Amino acid sequence: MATEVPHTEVVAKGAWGTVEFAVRQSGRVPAKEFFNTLTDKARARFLVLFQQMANAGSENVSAKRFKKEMGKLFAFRHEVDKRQIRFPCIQDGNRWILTSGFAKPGARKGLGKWPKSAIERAQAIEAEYWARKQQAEAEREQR
Amino acid sequence: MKKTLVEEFVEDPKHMRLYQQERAIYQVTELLESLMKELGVSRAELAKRLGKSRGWITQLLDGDSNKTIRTVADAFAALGHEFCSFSRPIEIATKASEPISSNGVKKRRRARLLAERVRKE
Repeated sequence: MATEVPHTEVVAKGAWGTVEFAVRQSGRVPAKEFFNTLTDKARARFLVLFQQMANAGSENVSAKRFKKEMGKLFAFRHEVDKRQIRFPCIQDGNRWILTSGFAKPGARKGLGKWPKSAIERAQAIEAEYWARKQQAEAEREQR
Repeated sequence: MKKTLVEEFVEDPKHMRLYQQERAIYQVTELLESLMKELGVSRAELAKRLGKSRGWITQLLDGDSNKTIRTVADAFAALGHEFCSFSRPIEIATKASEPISSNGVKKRRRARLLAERVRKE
């Protein structure tokens, strides 16, 4: 029997809900891979933000730190050591699923926007997440 | 039960200290920002009151630069508020929702004082 790859890994858990990394079909965890490239300070800063979200929900996180970006994509945001870091995510009930992570190219004119590749990547992971979830639910019903 | 990434991270005492430093910075900057919003004070206005640039205020609110307690107290004073703080044993995941706002802090304090009074009675 093939081992089932989990959909997510829990990052933070609190009274409101959870923040989780999306796990791809291949077993790769893009948001975690990016997270692990960050400095200890940056990681601590984001973990505080993720835990705050899990404890109290998005209403208690300022728009500066957490914002709707495009379509169903939101993002956790921080500037650490002059780098603007973003973790795109999607909402699934009381869960925020982190799709990926990246550093914005810069705040200068024309460079401030999200790179096209980062948007496409986040959207692809989002689509895969919903498809895998749907498939898992269908399999559960069959059993 | 499997630990969350946050729980794994803070197992290392060095990381726990870093986490608590960042948590304190986050809470103070969020408190300051929510107070500015509540009072209708813009970054430019606060900069003017403190005799600093708008960029300096942005740095303060981003929490990326290391400001002193004196600086933070000064920013609150420029908004007509006292900067109060409290400590408690470390608790990573809260059992109840804890909003971070000047009102939230006041409500929690009021609720604690009320509970103490009821207990005494």
